[in-house]
Amino acid sequence: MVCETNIQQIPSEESSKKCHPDIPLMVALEKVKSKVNTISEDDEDICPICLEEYTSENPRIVTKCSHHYHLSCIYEWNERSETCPVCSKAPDYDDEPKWYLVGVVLTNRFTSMLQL
Amino acid sequence: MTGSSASSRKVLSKIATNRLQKELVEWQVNPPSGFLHKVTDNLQRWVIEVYGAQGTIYAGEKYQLQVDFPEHYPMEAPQVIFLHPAPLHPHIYSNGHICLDILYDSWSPAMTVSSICISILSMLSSSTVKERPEDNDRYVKNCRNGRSPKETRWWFHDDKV
Repeated sequence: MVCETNIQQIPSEESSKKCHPDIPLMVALEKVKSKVNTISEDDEDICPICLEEYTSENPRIVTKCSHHYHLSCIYEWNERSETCPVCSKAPDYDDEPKWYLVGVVLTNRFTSMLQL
Repeated sequence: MTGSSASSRKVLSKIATNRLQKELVEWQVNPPSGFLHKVTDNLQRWVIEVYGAQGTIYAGEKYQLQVDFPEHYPMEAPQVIFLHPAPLHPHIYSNGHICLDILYDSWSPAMTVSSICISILSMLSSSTVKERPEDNDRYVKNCRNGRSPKETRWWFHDDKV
């Protein structure tokens, strides 16, 4: 069987996105403490999206599936797709936030405060 | 067949330029096996030679891939097509368009030109027949106005080849 094609414009993506409710910082920290310690050792210093190093001004964040990116890079990708660029895992919309800074949990409210 | 839409594409963003320069350096240090990139001054369009792998039905054959990068690469996928003559393959149309999900719906910004090339060579190597897609003539006829394969709505339901 081959690929069938149907010539037409791809419909624009749903503009609406599901909400990720904020939860208290300490509760979230307890939930993810073990996950933060399971970051892959491979290319740990390089963001796989922009291929640039992490810095104190542009630090590493870690997704729920334990993959790391610059916050600005994953934020821009998440405007197009909710999936993780490395493992393609989609968020499961539970009560946990999507991203974690090392040692700090980034709730949606916090990321919007960063004005990204 | 070289993608007229690519010529009207906006120039690369700073992020795209930085990332492509890094990919270019990485390619020169560690090129994927079976590929040769003829480096030019044009960072936005790469032309890459593909060599059919030994032990496959494309062994000893050479093809050319043309990769055009959009303004917001890698947030958007590059346009990847085979230049004429495109290899005979059940997922490659005679106009060079390639039916491969990672080039369209399944693109991720963590992919690179190098990883795309490896996927395309894998797709070629797993084929046991040299034939065009069943709908080749209809599809190519519909593309005569220079339509980009990224404007096609692809249906992927065969991951064996």
